[in-house]
Amino acid sequence: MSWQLASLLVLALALGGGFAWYERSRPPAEMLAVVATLAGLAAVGRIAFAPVPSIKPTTDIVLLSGFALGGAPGFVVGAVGALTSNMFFGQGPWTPWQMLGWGLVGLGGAALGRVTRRRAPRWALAIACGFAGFAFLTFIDASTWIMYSGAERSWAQFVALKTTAAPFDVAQVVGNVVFALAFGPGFVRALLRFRTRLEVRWSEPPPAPVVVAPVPSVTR
Amino acid sequence: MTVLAFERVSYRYPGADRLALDDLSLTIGEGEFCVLAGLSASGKSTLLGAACGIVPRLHGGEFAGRVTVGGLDTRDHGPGAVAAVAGVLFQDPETQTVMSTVRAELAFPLENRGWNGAAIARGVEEAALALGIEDLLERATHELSGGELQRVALGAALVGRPRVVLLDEPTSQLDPVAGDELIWLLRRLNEEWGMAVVLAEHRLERCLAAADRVIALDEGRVVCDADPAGFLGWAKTYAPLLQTPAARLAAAVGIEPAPVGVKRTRAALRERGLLPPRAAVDGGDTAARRPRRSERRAASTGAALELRGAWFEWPDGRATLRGVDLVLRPGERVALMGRNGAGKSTLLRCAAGLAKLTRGRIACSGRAALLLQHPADYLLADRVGDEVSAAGLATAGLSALADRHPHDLSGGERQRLALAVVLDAPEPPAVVLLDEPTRGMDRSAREELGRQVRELAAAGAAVLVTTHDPELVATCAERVLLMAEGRLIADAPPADVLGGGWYFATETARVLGGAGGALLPEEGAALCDVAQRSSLAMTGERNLNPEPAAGAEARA
Repeated sequence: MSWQLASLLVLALALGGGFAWYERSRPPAEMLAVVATLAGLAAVGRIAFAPVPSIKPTTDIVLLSGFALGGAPGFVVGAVGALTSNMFFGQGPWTPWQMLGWGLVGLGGAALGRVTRRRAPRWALAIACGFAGFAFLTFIDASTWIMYSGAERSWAQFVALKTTAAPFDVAQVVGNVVFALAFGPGFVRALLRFRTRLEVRWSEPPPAPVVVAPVPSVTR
Repeated sequence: MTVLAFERVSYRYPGADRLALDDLSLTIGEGEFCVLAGLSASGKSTLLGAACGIVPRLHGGEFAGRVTVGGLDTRDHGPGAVAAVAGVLFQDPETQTVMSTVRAELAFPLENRGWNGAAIARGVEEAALALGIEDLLERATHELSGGELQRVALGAALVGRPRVVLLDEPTSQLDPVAGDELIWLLRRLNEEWGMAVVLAEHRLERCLAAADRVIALDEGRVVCDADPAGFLGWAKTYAPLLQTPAARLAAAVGIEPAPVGVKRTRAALRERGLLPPRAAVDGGDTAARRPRRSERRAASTGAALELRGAWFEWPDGRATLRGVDLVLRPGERVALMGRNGAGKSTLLRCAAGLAKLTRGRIACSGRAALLLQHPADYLLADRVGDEVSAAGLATAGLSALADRHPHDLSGGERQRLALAVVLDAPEPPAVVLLDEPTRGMDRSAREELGRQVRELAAAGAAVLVTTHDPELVATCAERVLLMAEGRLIADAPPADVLGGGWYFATETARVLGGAGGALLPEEGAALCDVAQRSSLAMTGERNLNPEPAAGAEARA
């Protein structure tokens, strides 16, 4: 089996698994609306910055969505954001890679949210976003290496690829850090407000106060 | 047969420290017309939200107990399913309309329910006829006036023939004409089609006469559940702020129990010989005349705001202001009234510089603080305390709520906060412009606003308030402008404008037929005493009517 076929099989399984996870959590219509809006925002963020190579708020939006809303929604925001923004940039064999890459960024955000109990300072969010940007690009570079390096595939090729991409990686990381410093905490606050509004604790009313009949006095 | 049942419902908003609904039980039967009364933040909106299922599903928090609407338990059925049995209408029709034409808006709920085309066409036609909006069907929703839009939103809520309709202050941004029309439309739907109505309203004088039952809430509990007459008797003792002006008038002259509505109050007064002679309908002199040149010259020195020959026209040629001449002096308290679409808001926008006159001149002597109709637009922070300075917060009476999210406040509280935001600046404003500031405000908040208006004026600002609320005008304005079709058609003291009108009149003025220019219950009561004394002096008997009043009544 070729590397290409194997990798696409893995991608299909991973993406299928992620979407199945989200579907099986049976999100209410309100959550669907929030997730769809965020995915749209991630796509629009990518399109709006199309003229500037590498500097995009998309990774930040996906990571912070996962941070505030949790794993399954974060994954879907990333995956759907990649799919929809490629309607503008063009679909291709890279689409499932970008979908999984950003989906994993959303998952990473959710993990960070769980570890920090969704209270992270501005600088921590910025570092996380910078790191996520680097990780995402490395994942995409790996996809290029796997899909296009031909029969004589070697580590040297990957290193060469990564070295050529270094300026773009730096631009992406710097961009992500700046975006996160600018809107990270505000974005998280807004999403957490949605989250609290969607969390309901249903309970039974306390038992009705029992009316105690006056007990006749026994002592005379 | 009950259409709406609350069984021991308690609800707490996320992060709130007190319950919004506190162990509340209530049943509303088929075909009842219920009015929900209560001060701001007493739980009226929360109760309506719980009845249609958006509380707690769209608000989060803790919910205990059970709400059953038309046989559906809101624990098991979401707002979408509940919408089939309960129609909902909120304060702002703009936020409720989703489609671009009226026909599409009315068809939308039925399409969502999967009706076939013929059934949808018939449902739309019936709803449009029932609400009298058939001539609006092809119009675009964005070009309708507030009153028309509110009726369209009501049509969309009713098109699926719900068994109960829930309304949260539906008349608060309508002019008196459109507001009364909406209430009597509800009464007709209630009587002819047996639809149960649950209506939350601050201006009880508007809807009490149409109601079968009044439920008063306080801190999330039912404190009174009676017919309107019983409610007024209860309110006299336990909740004076919920009394209607007519009931206060009746109480002030010693009529027990207070009669419900204008007609019965008038009858009760006449029976006791207390009704003063009606004001003659002679037109009076309320005209907004163009000032003479000498006056104009005198006025323009030291005017806080001056408009001269002001026109505002849209690119398509429609004019919303047609040659308005207006001078406001510092310290003046002026109310601007008129029906929806008369040009009031445009006048304020032009005065504040948000819109540019197409002809004419405008001059303002300093900062113009403008509060537009949607208070939420002024609130940007995540905490009430971050919106304004501590002093501003204290003036608005909101210090206790500093840690809440601004969008979680009740309608009236939000309005007060937005007012604090526009006033919160080091430099005092020369002109304060308020557009419909009493929406969602209970009487104590309205009186507080009246006090604030007087304070601002005393500090030297000219205050211009557009309002549909004659009671507010009577308490805080010293000059009333009436606007129609972009022109000022009256400019006179409140007693002259509001005493003689039908729609632009306070309830007291309507009871007394404008006699003596009495606008407030207290003034009315004083007048009744005089009437009683004069009738005693004339006849020596207590129960005889003064002749002119009886004659006028017979003609009316």
